[in-house]
Amino acid sequence: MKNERPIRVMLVDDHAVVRSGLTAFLLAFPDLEPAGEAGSGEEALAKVEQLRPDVILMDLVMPGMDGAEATARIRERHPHIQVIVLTSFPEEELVQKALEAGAIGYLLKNVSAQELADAIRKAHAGKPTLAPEAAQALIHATRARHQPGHDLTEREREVLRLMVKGYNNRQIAEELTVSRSTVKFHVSNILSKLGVSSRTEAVAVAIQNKLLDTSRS
Amino acid sequence: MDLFPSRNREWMALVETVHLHHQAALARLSHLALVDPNLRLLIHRAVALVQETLQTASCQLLERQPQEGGFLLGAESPTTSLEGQPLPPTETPLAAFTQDRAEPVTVVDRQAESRFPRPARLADRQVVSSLSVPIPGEDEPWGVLQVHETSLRLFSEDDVNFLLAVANLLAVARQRIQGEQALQASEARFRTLMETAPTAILMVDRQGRIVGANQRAEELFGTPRRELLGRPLNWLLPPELRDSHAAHMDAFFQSPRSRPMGQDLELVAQRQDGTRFPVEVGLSQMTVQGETLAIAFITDITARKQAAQALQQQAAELEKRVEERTQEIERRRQAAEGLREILAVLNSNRPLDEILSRILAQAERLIRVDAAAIYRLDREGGPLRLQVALGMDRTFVHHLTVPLGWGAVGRAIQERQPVIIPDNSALFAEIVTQTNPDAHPHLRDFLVRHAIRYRSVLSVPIITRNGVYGGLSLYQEHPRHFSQEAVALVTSLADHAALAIENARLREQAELSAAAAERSRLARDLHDAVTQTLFSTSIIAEVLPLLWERNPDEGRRRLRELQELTRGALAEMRTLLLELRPSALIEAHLPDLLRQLAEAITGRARVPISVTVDGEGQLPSEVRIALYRIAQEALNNVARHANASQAWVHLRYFPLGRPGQPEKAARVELVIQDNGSGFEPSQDRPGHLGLKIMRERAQDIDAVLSLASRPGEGTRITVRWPGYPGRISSTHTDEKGQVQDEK
Repeated sequence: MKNERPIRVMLVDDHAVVRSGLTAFLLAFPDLEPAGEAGSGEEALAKVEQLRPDVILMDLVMPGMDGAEATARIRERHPHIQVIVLTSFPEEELVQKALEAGAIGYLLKNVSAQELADAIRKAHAGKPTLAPEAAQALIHATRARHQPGHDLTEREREVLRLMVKGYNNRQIAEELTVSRSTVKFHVSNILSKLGVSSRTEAVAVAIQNKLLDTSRS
Repeated sequence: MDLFPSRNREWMALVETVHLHHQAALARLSHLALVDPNLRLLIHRAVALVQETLQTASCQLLERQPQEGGFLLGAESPTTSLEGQPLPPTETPLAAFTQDRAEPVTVVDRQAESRFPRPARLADRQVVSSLSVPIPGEDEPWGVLQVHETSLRLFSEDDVNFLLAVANLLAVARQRIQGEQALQASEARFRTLMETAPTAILMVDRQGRIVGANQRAEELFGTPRRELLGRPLNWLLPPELRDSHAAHMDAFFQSPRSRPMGQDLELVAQRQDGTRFPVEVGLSQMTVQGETLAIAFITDITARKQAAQALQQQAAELEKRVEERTQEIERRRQAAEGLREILAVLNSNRPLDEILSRILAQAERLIRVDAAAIYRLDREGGPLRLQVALGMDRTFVHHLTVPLGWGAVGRAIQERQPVIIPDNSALFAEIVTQTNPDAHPHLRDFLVRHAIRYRSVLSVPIITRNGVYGGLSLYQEHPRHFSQEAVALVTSLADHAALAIENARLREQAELSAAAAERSRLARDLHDAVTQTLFSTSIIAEVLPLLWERNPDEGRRRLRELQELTRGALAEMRTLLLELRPSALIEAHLPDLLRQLAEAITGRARVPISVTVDGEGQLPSEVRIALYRIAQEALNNVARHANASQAWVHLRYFPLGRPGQPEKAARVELVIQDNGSGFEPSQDRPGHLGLKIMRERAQDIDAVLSLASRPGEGTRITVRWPGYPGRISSTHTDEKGQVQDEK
């Protein structure tokens, strides 16, 4: 144990049970120290000045001001205070929002005590920690945004593959043993999802972006 | 009047001679009067005879002229040129007088006559004495018979009687001759009538022979009269009617009576060419010279009969159409009513099978069949399973399945159109022999027991938006050709059934999605509560060894917390289970529920909650549930907002012990209190719907909810339920008193 003062950690969560458990957790590590707690975003803003934490464990979904907004406000006023979001929700949109608000970590409430302690220490040193689920959601979102045709269904990919092979609708219908009107329906969906107006364009986009290869791999 | 002065023997002899003379003349005249057909001649002979017999200068017969008045000189002896001429009244004063008196008038001397004036002409002839008698007629006197004498003469009583006798004889003769003339005229008229009558007339004698026929009869039977006369009447009848007609004829002659036309028998007559025609026969009878003749009036009623038949046919047709129309209207009315009832049922929230049963009942009623059933296609390709049935034998209705394509309903579904089997007896044998008992044991059973019973079937498919659902079948024990109207009606009923089925599906989906929404709300609650608790528990459990090492007291404290948390999580789970199974909530004991709730909140909110229960009692389930919900809401508020370090739940039962109430009936009071931050009750607390919900729940069970709170002094919620609904007002007052006492 180094001769440094412990990291002061503030807890913000609307669930008393969580605050209580996390306090016990902080008491177990000599380099961590409970700085105080708040049951809402508003309360956290009011207390942060007085409690002067190094790191805040912030719940996201709370009645009134939510965790993302509280994080943004705190980081605005106290850029030296690091905020780790600790929540039950791994949704991509929330992760995005929290990181944009200035959180340095995004952890889920299935995290182990050891991992949580490490995350707090890394945050205090200015290093980010993301829960694997949050990282995955983030990566998926990023890739999806830049990859046309990411939202194609398996069936549409099959149809697109045959389109690339130069099949017309009748041939595609025969190949997949579906009706021609079904094929037409798929093709128009493919065009709209790829944001193109013709079959030729669709085939070009598919080849350029290696849509069919990636889907196979 | 005695004009004879003496009656001696000679005189008497003379009188006797005159008398005989008179009698001879009368005898001659009376013979003429009986046989002479010529009245004029008879009159002439009579006046001549009188003049001759009475030895008078002249004899006159003056006939009264009814229209012109006065008299006409009918005859005179000796003959004069005035015969047949009317006489001026001045010439006939005696006649007029005689007629007025209506008795013989004797004039002895015209010169001395004062009863009437003297006629000019008679004066010329120098008439001195006259005798005048009236001649009677039928209704009025015919005229006057007079004799005149140019010398004075006293007419004897014999003369008077003689003249009266002649006058009477003439009157009788005239009556006879006039009667004969009238009879002749009458006969002539009768003959004309007969001949020109529009009705055929036949006269038939007792032997059944035709003795008379009119022209119309000739025309009607197409036979000249000469051929008709003498023939038996039977000759004009069809051979098969002849015997019975002969019997009728005999009966008629036994007791002849008239039978007017119209109310009589209609017969068939036959012409010689064999053609037959309907006739109406009226009968009458007449006796001629002692022989009874039957008179038959025969009318050809071919045209009338045809018209009547046509009319009858028209009437029958009209009646039939009216009847049909009435039935149709009635059927339509019933159909409309039936459909309206079905629509009403469709709009209700009744179970599908009940709605389908109602539809079947309407079908049974409207189409009048013996049984009806709805079959469901469980999956594509069959088989069909009986869903609901009416009027069928229960022993085989259950588990009855029909392979697709079999039977009327199987075919109706496969072909997607109505199938009618008017009579299955022919089909039946064929199908049974074809049925493979291994493959379709139920079908065989169905056919053996069902098809024998129901000979005719009408099946229509039930098609919903999702495709074929099944079929509706109507069964009749007798062969029947279902009308197009029946088929249309059943099709419409099947459409209604389809609608009911779609409705049921939608309702099911709505219920499913409501259940799904409820489950997702529970999942959120589970997440919010249990997951948080479990996270906290796992963190504490993980750091507990480290913590214990650093600070044993803190470690012991946290171990206790760990226990509370796990118990809280368990209570939370049980609470959630109650939400998933509302029946469990209905059955649960209220104190148990409150303790479980308190444990869950204690774990979750880290606020100790004590639960105390005084007394015991039995409450209606809706009251228990309402109180539980209020406690739940109140404790949630404590956990979320109160910032309390302690909370209390206090439940008290006050036994009612009233007669007529259940044994453990009680009124009850529930208090939930905390020592938290409190609030100003008069202020609006936006977003805090909890209080409003609690009040509504209290109102639902007729309980009173009161709230006491002040900033910094915690909150107390009290709910008082006054006992069973329908309580007596005095009890209510009493109870209020008690409540006040407690305070």
